[in-house]
Amino acid sequence: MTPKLFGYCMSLNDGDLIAGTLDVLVLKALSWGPRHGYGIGRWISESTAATLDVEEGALYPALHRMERRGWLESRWGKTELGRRAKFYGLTRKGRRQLSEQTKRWHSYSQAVSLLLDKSSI
Amino acid sequence: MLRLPKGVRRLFDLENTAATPEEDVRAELDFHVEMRAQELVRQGLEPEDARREARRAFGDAARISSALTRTARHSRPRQRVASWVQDARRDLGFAVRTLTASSGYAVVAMLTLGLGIGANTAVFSLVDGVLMSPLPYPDAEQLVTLWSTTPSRGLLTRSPVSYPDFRDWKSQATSFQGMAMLYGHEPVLGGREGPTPILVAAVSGDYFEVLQARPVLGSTFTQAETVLNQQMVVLKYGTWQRRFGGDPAIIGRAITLDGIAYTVVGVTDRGSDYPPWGDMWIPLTPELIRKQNLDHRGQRIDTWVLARLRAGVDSTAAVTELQTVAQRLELAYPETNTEWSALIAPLRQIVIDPFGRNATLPRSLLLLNGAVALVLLIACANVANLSLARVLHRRREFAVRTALGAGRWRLIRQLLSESLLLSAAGAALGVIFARWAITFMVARGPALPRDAEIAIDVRVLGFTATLVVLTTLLFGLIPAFRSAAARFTDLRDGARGSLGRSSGKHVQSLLVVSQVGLALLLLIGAGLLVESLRNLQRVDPGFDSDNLLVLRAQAPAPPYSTDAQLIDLHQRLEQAVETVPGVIGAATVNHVPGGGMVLSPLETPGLDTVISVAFRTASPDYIETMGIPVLEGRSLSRQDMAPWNGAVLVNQRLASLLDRPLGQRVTVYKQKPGSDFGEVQEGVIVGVVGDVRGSLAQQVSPYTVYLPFTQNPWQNATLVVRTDPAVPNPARLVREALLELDPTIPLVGLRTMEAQLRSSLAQQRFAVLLLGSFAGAALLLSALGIYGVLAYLVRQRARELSVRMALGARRLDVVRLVVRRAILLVGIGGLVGLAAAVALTRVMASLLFGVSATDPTTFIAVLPVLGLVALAASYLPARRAASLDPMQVLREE
Repeated sequence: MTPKLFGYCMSLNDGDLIAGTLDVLVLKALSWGPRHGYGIGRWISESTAATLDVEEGALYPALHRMERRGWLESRWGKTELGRRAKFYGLTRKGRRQLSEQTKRWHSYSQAVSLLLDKSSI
Repeated sequence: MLRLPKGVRRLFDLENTAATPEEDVRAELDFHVEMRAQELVRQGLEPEDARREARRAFGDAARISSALTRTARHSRPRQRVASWVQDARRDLGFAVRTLTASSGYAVVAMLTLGLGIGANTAVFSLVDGVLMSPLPYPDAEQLVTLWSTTPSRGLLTRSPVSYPDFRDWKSQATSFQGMAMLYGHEPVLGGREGPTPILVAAVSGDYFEVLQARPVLGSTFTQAETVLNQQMVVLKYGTWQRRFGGDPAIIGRAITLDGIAYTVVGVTDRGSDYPPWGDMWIPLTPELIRKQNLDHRGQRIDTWVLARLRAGVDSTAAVTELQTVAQRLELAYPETNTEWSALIAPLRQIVIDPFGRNATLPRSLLLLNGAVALVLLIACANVANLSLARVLHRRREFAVRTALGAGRWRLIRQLLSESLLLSAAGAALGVIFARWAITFMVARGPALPRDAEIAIDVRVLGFTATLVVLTTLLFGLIPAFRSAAARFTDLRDGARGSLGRSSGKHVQSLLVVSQVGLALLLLIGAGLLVESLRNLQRVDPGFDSDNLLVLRAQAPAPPYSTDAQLIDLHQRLEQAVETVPGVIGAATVNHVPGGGMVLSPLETPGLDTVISVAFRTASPDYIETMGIPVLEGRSLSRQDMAPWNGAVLVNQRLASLLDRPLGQRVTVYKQKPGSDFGEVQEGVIVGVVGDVRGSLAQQVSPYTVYLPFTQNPWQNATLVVRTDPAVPNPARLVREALLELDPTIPLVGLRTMEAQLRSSLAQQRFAVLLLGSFAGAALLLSALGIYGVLAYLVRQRARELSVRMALGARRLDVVRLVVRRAILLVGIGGLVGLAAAVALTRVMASLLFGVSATDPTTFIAVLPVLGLVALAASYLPARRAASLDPMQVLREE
């Protein structure tokens, strides 16, 4: 069973994901240009070689929430195959969020790995 | 939900808002599941299984969807606005970047539009302030003015109402909520600067209740208050500022008028200062009525009547009722009221044209407004041309953007944003320019009615904002649609101007042709006004206006009260002035031409009807001093004076009504306000003198009769003084001599007749100046437009011209090509302009004097100007074409 974190769920293939991670992943996914929701999910799982797998239905509440906060903007458009789909893109605010959260994430993960490495000695 | 046509929705990117939130969320989630299913199918699952698996992987779709729908519905309107604002900001941001990248274009366009919009804003603020904005009184459309009229006697249609008539009208007519009388009174204001004569409006007690003018300080007075205290005064805002330095503690201060102390009780607000004459208001007291002999029913002089129509009564009904009352009075008082009726004029009309001399003002203002609008049109055409050239230049950019998926509307919207930005920036400049122009016009221009209300207010700014939108569309639409016509072929290397290669040029030429046409129209209009002004300046005033001083000596009532005292005073004034060195002659009269007049009925056996004539009482030397020609008989002499032998003079216009004027008996009536007002004067015409005009704009001279001044000596003597041009500053010497005679007599309005005549054409001169500058600006803009087209032509055809030159064409041939093009543009434009002028200049016919609205000389005279413009505009491009180096151009290719 996967724990619920702030209304959305996510699973590491072999464990739980830390709160707030989905946001930064979505922002990162969009930093290359607008994508639709399905594309974002695909990108995350492909780029992490399927280590991280987003529970699909949970992605959308996150997207909508981030849009309301002004990090993302959405627009209906056409896919390469001509299907109508809702595309999300980063706003300027979103871009700032991404760099902030990335920084935070790095220092956090550094601290954690430092701790774990030390204790293993 | 609002459904808009598809195109409009696309234009404003409204596509995602066309669906309801439910549909929106459902479509989004369905898309996801379907994509997932497709992928599973590709991995080898059966479609049926794939769909089931996809749905399972998605989770509780129904719950997620309803949660999303709820929040979406909640935040949607805000989001839509936010996204619209965001788009607009992005467009504008992009516009700012592209415009700063080509700052030359931006600056020229902004300045052109700024001048155009600014000039329009300035002229509109005049039109709005003077003609359109409502008067600053509550329910101002109910306010009217009432007048006596006697159509059978001709001349003045609006005559003052006598006080007894006013009382009867007020008590008998039921169409009015209130009716108040104003009496123009000239007391002497005491103070530190010595006695100053001023003009006050003595008003019946209910005046301010009728007008409902709000005071800015203190209060106004009511009927009830005037009974308690009759010595109250309400100052006009302007008087308060000018004479009392805007003193905030003015309320309660005492001022003396004719030696009597009055208490200042209030100051009215800026602009709400009806009547347009006078510095302050005092109550019209019974004592004043007695002293000024206002109780005489036939004394129709110096009074105005203000009334407020009852709600729901229109002025036609009111005038009908008033005329019935007037008919009753005719029967009751045949001696004074025979053939006297009543008429109503809206207050607005009187405010704009208080003395019936400004009848053409509304038309001139509207004409200027129309003319300045044409200038803006020309400016728009110019900017459109610049912008068009820029679009052609940027076609590769548009093609790239189209190739990258930018929609047609997207590009149009982008260019319109740029245009809007330019107009808005231009308007900002324009408003600054307009503020400056308005200050200048009010300070230096001719006196305009309601000038306190001429300002850039909300209404004017609204007008400016409308102009911004209109100009954006006018100059922005063509280039915007042009940009959307960008094609992939434009990306081909070396593709040259395929974007509207030929039609672009045509649009450009069309714009320039219309510019030239409009400029010519303005030029012809200005030419006609100039011609008209020249004719007016050549008008013979009927007397010798050179070296002629005029001033008024306002004799205080005691000690100069009786006729004998006044006659003596006038004679002594004349003598005092005549002793001044450099004075050739002096005379007195009640009113000089252009310095007011009173009308008297005139009866003579030679005429069937009674006519109204200007009633002038003059000293024996008046005709000679003024230089008025004696056409028949003789002038007045000292022997005609006391005792009077009945000798009178008439002017030529009056004489022309009579068969043999000399020796004809005429009956007129004394006109000086006072106890003998209306007394019969039986005279015999002993001479006919020339017609005189006090204003050059005046088309006809009034019928005039001259009596010896001793018959009806005026309280204020107007002195006319003929001076020797060799003696410097005679005015100062004259003033000193008069002050030496009696320092308590205030001297008013010392001026030269020349200056008075010149200032009588101030409005016409101002109109010429404005229309002339508009025409000049129009010509300059058109020249720039022509230059633009020619320069573009030379650039585009550099290669072709070089080939020609390489093949032996002479430089002159190349120059001829350029100039021919210029002449073609100007020629067609000129024809269009001439046609437009023939059709349109007749709207200004009533403003012209001595020149017809389709005056062929003027029409032809302005044509060479167009030729010069064409030559000037083609000079640089022609030079450039002639200096092309064929080898270099061809090598570059």
